[in-house]
Amino acid sequence: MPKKSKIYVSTIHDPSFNMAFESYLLKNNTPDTIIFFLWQNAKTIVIGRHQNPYNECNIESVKHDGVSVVRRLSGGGAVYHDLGNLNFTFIAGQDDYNVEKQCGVIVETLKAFNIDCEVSGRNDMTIQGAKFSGHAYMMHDEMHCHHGTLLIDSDLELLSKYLQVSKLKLKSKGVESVRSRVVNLSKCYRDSEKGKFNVETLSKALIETFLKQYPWVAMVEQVGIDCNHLEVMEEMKRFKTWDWNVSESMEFDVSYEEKFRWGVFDVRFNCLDGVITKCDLSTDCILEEDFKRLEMDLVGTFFKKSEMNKCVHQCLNQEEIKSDLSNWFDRILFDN
Amino acid sequence: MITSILIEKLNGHDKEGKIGKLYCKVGSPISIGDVLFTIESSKGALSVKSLWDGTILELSICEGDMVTKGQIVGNVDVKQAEATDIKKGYNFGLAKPMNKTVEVDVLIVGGGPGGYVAAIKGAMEGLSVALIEEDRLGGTCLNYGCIPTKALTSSVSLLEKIKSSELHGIDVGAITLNLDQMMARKNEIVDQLVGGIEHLLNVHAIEYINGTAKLNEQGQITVQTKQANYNFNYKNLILALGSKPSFLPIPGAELEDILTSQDLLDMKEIPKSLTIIGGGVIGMEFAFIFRALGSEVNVVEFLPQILNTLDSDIAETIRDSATEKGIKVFESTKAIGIKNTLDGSKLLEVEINGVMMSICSQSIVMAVGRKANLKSLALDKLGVNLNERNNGINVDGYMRTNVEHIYAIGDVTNKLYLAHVASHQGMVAIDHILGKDHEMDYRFIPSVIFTSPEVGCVGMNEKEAKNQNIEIISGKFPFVANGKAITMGEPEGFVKVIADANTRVIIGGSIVGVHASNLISVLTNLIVSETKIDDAAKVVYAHPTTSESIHEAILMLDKRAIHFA
Repeated sequence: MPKKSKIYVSTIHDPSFNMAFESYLLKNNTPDTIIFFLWQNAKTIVIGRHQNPYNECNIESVKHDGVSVVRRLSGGGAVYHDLGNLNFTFIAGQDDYNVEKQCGVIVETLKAFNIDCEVSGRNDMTIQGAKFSGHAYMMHDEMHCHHGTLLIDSDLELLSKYLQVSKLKLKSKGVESVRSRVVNLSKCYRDSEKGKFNVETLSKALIETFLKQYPWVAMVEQVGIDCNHLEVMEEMKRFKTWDWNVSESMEFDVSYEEKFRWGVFDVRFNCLDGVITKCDLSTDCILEEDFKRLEMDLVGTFFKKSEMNKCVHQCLNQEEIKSDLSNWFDRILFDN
Repeated sequence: MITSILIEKLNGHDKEGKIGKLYCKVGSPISIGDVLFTIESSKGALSVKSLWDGTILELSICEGDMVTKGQIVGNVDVKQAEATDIKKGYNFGLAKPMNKTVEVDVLIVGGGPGGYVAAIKGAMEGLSVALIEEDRLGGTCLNYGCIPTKALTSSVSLLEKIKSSELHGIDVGAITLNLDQMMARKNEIVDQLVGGIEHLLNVHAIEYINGTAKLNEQGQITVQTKQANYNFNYKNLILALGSKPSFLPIPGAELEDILTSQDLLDMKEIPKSLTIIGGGVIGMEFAFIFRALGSEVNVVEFLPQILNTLDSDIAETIRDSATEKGIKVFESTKAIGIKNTLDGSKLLEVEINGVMMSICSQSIVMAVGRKANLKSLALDKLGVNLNERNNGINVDGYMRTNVEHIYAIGDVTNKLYLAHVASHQGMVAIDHILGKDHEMDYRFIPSVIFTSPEVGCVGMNEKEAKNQNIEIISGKFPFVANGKAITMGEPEGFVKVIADANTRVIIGGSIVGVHASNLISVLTNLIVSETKIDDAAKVVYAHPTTSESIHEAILMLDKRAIHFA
């Protein structure tokens, strides 16, 4: 049976769509087909399957600037996507899945643009030690997926601002990100016969190289807003929920110390599946308030602003304290 | 039915992964296809799904725990599948093994250093290859011999160094031994190397079947595993069946707690005292290891000399070192029988110069050599003949047996029980299959012994020269005259080089002392290329290194060593 290749290019920049589409391809691909998928997300922090968003980004600036935070299905660490970044995905069955060959598609393409890069031990790609492409992997039954980022002209200032973790005392059982020095490919590009270097020309060149390396029966398709495939739409919901993006984190332990006009508020939460399982609260506040009851009531509620506010309002009386805590929760918690 | 939850695969070739999200707990009802938990390794995530309908009985993992491939992490009480369920096609976990026929150019039985090297070499040359191994890849060498003992040797040599640290002006305080950790380190090393071979087999697309090869009625080789019933069609068959420890047929040898070298590698505690029957390579290596760990060690050797094939001056150096370390060496001593004592010790009865004596110790080890695995496959059904003494498969210089297209390599041929011989025999067999003229040559095979100090030998020694009436000259240079050996605090031993007195060609050498196992390669190269003394003497050796002793020993052949008088 002749082997097939399918190439998809997404024109939608919504992370939940692209990730849902990728997941759909992984679940439905057949062993005789290799898939190459190119996609971009608008400003998004994408965390690894086993990471904790509280541990991976600067919550206050991410919330303030309206950056999406989405958990992906593959392992590894957190990355920043914007429209200066291009993502690639390879999906293949056991026989055709070959990370080295797949990396070769990228290396060869960049060579045509006179850009020499190295593939590092963890299959990240670097130029003189600075990373422009991080890779991660996942499996669904016998189908393999290898995907990664390509920094072309991302806003590196914002990247480091958003990935700069808030100063939290957080202990998690999950997977930690490895910080790397990063570089944009456009910075490394000097003239070549290929002409301009941008997301568009690189996408085109990547597809050319892919077709050369996999000279099989090929099909190229653009994916746009007219894609209303039911299964994809259903899968999209997942990537928009707090349940998946936040509470799917493995058990973690986080402490805060916040100074208010009425005193220092010291609190430690232990959370599992998004629910507070332990709470230690202490404060030097001398006002007459039942913080002990608050401490007890918080156990069993979701680690989420709306739920925690309810407790505050039930247990405390002073308006100032209630509104301070509520504003504070707003700053430090992911709510949707 | 109760079945285990097994970590069957991890991302890529990873051996270890971290448990991510747990979606079940003890008591959870589960269905086929439910995600039980996720695992991450090297940036790859995967979901472990239930193959059963049932209930979780036991679960030994928590989020964030590290797990290894092949680890059992829990038990499931499986609801017996009803007939209707099976029709749905959801029965893969409980299904009968399927029948699978493997057609290859070369089928290899045995995945030790003979078999796996032949497999890789064959695949590299473009042959299709399948390899059957019933235990773990790497065979005796990697799992129960060379490698684990060298891991322990390395631990005890560190221990000895620490003990002498005061001499260097380094005070380390009290030393405590953690045998569990020492053994765990050894096991990790073995696992790492076994994983390496598995990886190589994968890379070369060799079909590896972990199971026991059997001959069926029709004389076909078959293997039954949980996944499939294999049978094989092959153009060539290589038998690399290996060997196992021999036992002396003396009364008491059948007692359950008589140890073998393999048992010594898994000791949970260090025996107060240990008697080793057999002063050969295996016996002596273990004698030094257990003495360093604190056991009282006795070695009983039937022949007049421990390490009997070596020249007497070499054996003497090892005997002196052993004695100095407190190992009691009894040569020309015959083991007669083993008895239990009332306090749970073992009594070894021996005969020395016609007088009966006994040795009492906590444990007894049999280290009296190895014998070919001739019964692991019905060789007569294959029509394969044994040698005259019936202790090995008969092969010629191309590793051919009497049956066309059947080859035998390694310990099962009972030539030299050495891993590197088996590997080379494997390459010779593959070359013959490819029609290349490459005959096995046993004359220049080096051998090494990891006693303290080490020994390395290659080519002819004085004993053999005398037996074959070859007129030789020997040059000997002691390490005590070598600057580097002195700085290392290891001045014991010497280098001895042997040349043909008439042709002046270097034909053999033995080294006992520091770095002997590595230095022997220098002599091997000189000997294989039939170098004459005068040419060999022209080579410059770097200063300050122990290899200068080789140069000096070559000069000593003409009594012209610089640093010895």
